Amino acid sequence: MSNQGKYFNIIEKSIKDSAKKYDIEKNTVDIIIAWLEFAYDNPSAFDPSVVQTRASLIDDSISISDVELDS
Amino acid sequence: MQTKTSLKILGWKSNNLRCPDHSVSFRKGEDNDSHRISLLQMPNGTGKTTLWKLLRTALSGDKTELQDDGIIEFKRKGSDDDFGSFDVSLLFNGAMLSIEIYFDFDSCTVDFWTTYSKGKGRVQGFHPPVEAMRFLNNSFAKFFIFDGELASNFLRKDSRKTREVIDVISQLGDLNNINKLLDTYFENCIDNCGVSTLQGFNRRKSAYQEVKDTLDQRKKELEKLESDEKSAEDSLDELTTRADEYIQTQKGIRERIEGLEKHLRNLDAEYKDSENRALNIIIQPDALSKHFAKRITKFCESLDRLKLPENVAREFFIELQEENNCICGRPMDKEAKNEIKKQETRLLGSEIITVLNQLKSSKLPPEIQIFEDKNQELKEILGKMKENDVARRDCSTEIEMQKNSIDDEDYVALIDKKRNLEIRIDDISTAIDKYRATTDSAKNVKSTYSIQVLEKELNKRSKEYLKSKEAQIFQVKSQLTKKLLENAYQEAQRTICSQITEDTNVRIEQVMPYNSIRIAGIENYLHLEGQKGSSEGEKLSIAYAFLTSLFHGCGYYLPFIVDSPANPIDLEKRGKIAELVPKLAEQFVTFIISSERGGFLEALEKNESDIQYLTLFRNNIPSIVEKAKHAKSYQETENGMLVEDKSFFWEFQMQKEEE
Repeated sequence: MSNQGKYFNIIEKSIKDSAKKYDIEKNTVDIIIAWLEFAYDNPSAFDPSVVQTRASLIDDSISISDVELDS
Repeated sequence: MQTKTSLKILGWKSNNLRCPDHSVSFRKGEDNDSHRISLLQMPNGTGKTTLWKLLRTALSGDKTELQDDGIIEFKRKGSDDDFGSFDVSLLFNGAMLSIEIYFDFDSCTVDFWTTYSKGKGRVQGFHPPVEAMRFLNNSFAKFFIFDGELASNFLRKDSRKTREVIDVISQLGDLNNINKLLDTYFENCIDNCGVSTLQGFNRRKSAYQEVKDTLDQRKKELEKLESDEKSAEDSLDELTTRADEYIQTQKGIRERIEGLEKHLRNLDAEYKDSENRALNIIIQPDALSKHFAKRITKFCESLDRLKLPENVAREFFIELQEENNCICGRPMDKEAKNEIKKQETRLLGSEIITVLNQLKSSKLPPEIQIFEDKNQELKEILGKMKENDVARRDCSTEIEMQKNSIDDEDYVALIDKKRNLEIRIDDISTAIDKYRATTDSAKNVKSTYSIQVLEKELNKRSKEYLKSKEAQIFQVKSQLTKKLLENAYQEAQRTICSQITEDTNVRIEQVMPYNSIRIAGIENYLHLEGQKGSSEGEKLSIAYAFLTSLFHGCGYYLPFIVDSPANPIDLEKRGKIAELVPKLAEQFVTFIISSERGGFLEALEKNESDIQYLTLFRNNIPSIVEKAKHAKSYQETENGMLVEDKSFFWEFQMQKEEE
């Protein structure tokens, strides 16, 4: 595994802080960070098939209540 | 253990191109390690620009720059060979990687060939390992294959290069990319649902809810009706049972009454018969009494004697009317005549005359025995009639008593109740039919009663609602991820830019301690503090300081390749730049001209001991070629010489370059 340096750490922290702010589940955050980590040394991270898989995972990880739906 | 991704340039080889044919190696000794700093001195006209473009193309995989210039322009002048090549040797994470640019000047095409020691050998195309693709691309390569133009762009307000390089190197760009891709993903999801607006969702939700509420209401109503119907049917069954039972209990009484009534009718018939028989006796009074018979006989004899009534009567009245005076002595006037005529009709037509005539014609029984028999018979008849009358009264009384024993009021009430229940069941059944109908002519949902129709409508609206709900969920998810990633991007960018600004200012102070230039902040460009402009040297110093700070925070060990690192910088500031250069990267390769050496090399040598001195030039000046042949290491090709020697490097000077 590569050391992605302090910028990655800053971004990771920002995502986590932002998730707390908007009350987003840890699972969603983990998937996004994993995608970002994968993208670090994989240009294919943004290939359509990879995007579809990762985006679906994020999609599935977010649960929306009826209250949120109506707000 | 985590290791930083590492890329080093081990050298390159150029053949039949505009720059002299040569093969340069940056290797240090026999192993694959490279010198920390490699200075490649090339006088003007040696094809430095060509070499620069080739290097940038080989490390980005983007041949646009070559094609724009025209492939043929890269061909060595005077060469008959239709092929040329430029081959860069790299060390990526300890493995050998070679990128070759192959020119076909006949067809004016250019191709890549890639050889990776951990790959499948030499393959056509630009195929570095995927892990290296992050920086071996057009966006990234220009930041470590650096030229002076880029330094200026970092400070230009209309340029986004600063933001671009931060995004690329820090992965902020990847974060932004994920945000955009997620946005597109959710947009596609929403498009597939066919509904995209909140209004559309709310409208479909209301439409669905309206049918659902109505259907629930109708089902409750039907349930109530069915319950009522069952209850009414149960009550009806109960009443029917009660009525049947009632009828069963009243059967004996009714049969008794019928028997009594029949008996009464028989008694009546017997009474009537006795009565007739009695009357038949009574109408013959002469047969009942000899006194009465004598007097009747005498009376009849008188009638006979008077020839009354039938033979004389009429003539009597006729003759009397013809007399002048009535037998009573009154004059026979018209009024008297009319009266006589009137009485004649009455008298002659009356039953009295009939009776009298019958009496006259009848023969009375002369014997006393007859009277006694008739009297006895009459007495028996009358006695029987009396008994019969008592029996008839008793029977009537009994019938009345039996009738009174029937509670008719309750029975009628029962039947009424039963009839009302039947009407109610009919009403309920009619109402239920509306709920169970397969069609409904109602104009709107709220007026619809057919559950089947409502269920069909609910199914239809449910699909629309679910689609819109699904779309709305995607919408909310899209907004949520967008907020998350945009906020994270802004926060991370603010933090990263703040740290880079701070680090860059520290480095600027080291390079230019007597200069007040500092970065106020990073926007799309490097925003200088209170500074409207800066010299080319200052720009380059700031750019180096900025890039050094930027690369310091990333997770890569990359080479830093710079064209003319100190050329535009004032002599007194070159030393400071030279101090900065060793900190820029693990490997620093620079193209330099002899005029840049002053003020730069001395300081560089003070700060870094591992420096490689290379000089590449065309071998068209015999004195220089001769001198080069006395250098520590050199190679000579058909059109050039590459010398690796510090002294030669320091002393190298060409007239053409000075121009």
